[in-house]
Amino acid sequence: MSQEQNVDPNAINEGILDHLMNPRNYGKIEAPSAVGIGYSDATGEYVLMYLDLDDEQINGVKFMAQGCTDTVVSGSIFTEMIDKSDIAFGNKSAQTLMKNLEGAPEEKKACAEIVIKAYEAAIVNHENRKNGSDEELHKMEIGSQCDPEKNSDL
Amino acid sequence: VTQKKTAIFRLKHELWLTMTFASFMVQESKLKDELYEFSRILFRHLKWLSQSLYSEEIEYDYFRSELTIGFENYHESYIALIEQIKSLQESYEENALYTRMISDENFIISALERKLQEPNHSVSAFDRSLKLECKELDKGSTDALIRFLFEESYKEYELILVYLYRQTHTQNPALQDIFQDLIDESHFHLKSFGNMMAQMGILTLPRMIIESIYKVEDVVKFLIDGIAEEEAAKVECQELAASVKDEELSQFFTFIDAQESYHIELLKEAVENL
Repeated sequence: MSQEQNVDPNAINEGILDHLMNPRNYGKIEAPSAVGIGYSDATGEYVLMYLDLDDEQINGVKFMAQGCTDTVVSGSIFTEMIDKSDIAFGNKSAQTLMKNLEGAPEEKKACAEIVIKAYEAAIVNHENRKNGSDEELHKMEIGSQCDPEKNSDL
Repeated sequence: VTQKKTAIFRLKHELWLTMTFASFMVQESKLKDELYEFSRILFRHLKWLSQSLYSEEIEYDYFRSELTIGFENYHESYIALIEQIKSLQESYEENALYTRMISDENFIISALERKLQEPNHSVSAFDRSLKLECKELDKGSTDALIRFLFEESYKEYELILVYLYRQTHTQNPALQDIFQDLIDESHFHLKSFGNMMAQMGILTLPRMIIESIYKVEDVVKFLIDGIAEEEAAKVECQELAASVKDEELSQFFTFIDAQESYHIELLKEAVENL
């Protein structure tokens, strides 16, 4: 068995603990440029993502989650990556995050995907607003199945 | 005036939360009990404020500003709490409810000021020791316990505030009574989990609640979803009780599991009362 296969997906390392204790960018932006929701209809979990954009530049990002701790950690890591960057970097980071989770248990992938979907939905909302829409927020459903009860090795 | 009243509500919510977590943070049981009693007084204030805002048809929420509790020593926390109370009191105007709260708060301020004359102690509640007193847990059990504590401390905080919101927004005395029982139970659970987190050096304020969780249109669905969540929590407790190789901890989770059954019955009763 390879070393990679031996990695326990539920293990808590220092980095994860730090994001649990101090989630980055958790909260709400007043008067955001774009708002997206990533959700799972199956479990009722969702993530709200708020972007403060200056055209392509991400001046600020915040998120709120109704989900498990893995979702909060994913949101914290992802928003830390894209804050003060631009949309192109945000899109690339979203792809990288999902690629890094290839081979991870389905429920782990779903926790990250719900965050990524919230970001993608916010970008769609931004485009729609730029095209004259008065859409308050945009919603996108995830493809994976997130079962919070399977997210621990209890 | 409306904005000022909702701002007072938000500040009181933050003060209650800081006092509650300060009580988890300290180690001496007498001091812990005293601070926790103060937090219960502040929670009653929050309840009265909710009722007052509701009766005046003023919309309020559980929004919080950036709030931190990473105190290095006890005195630092007392000073922060005194400042928080004084800042809140600057917003009060002349009325009977505020007068009553000021009296309680002034008593709390004088108690905290007296504590500033006592020896100071450093805080270990945030040191990430990941150890529970007199317990030997392997890595797997420790990680499972950490996940459980983060999930459930948030959940209990959420339940306290959601049930308080629903309790305020019903005129049905039977429902108000049921919600009060559920609030009391969640206070106990939050206290248990918060104290364990402090022992393990991972004490953390729960994250802010999304507005749509408590401002629900369909109360029956909200209660039925609550039953499903309690059932899921039961499974987690049973699995954790079986997984931790420590008798006392295992008994504790079995006890919490049994309490969840009681919560399910209360929620079913609430559905029947609608």
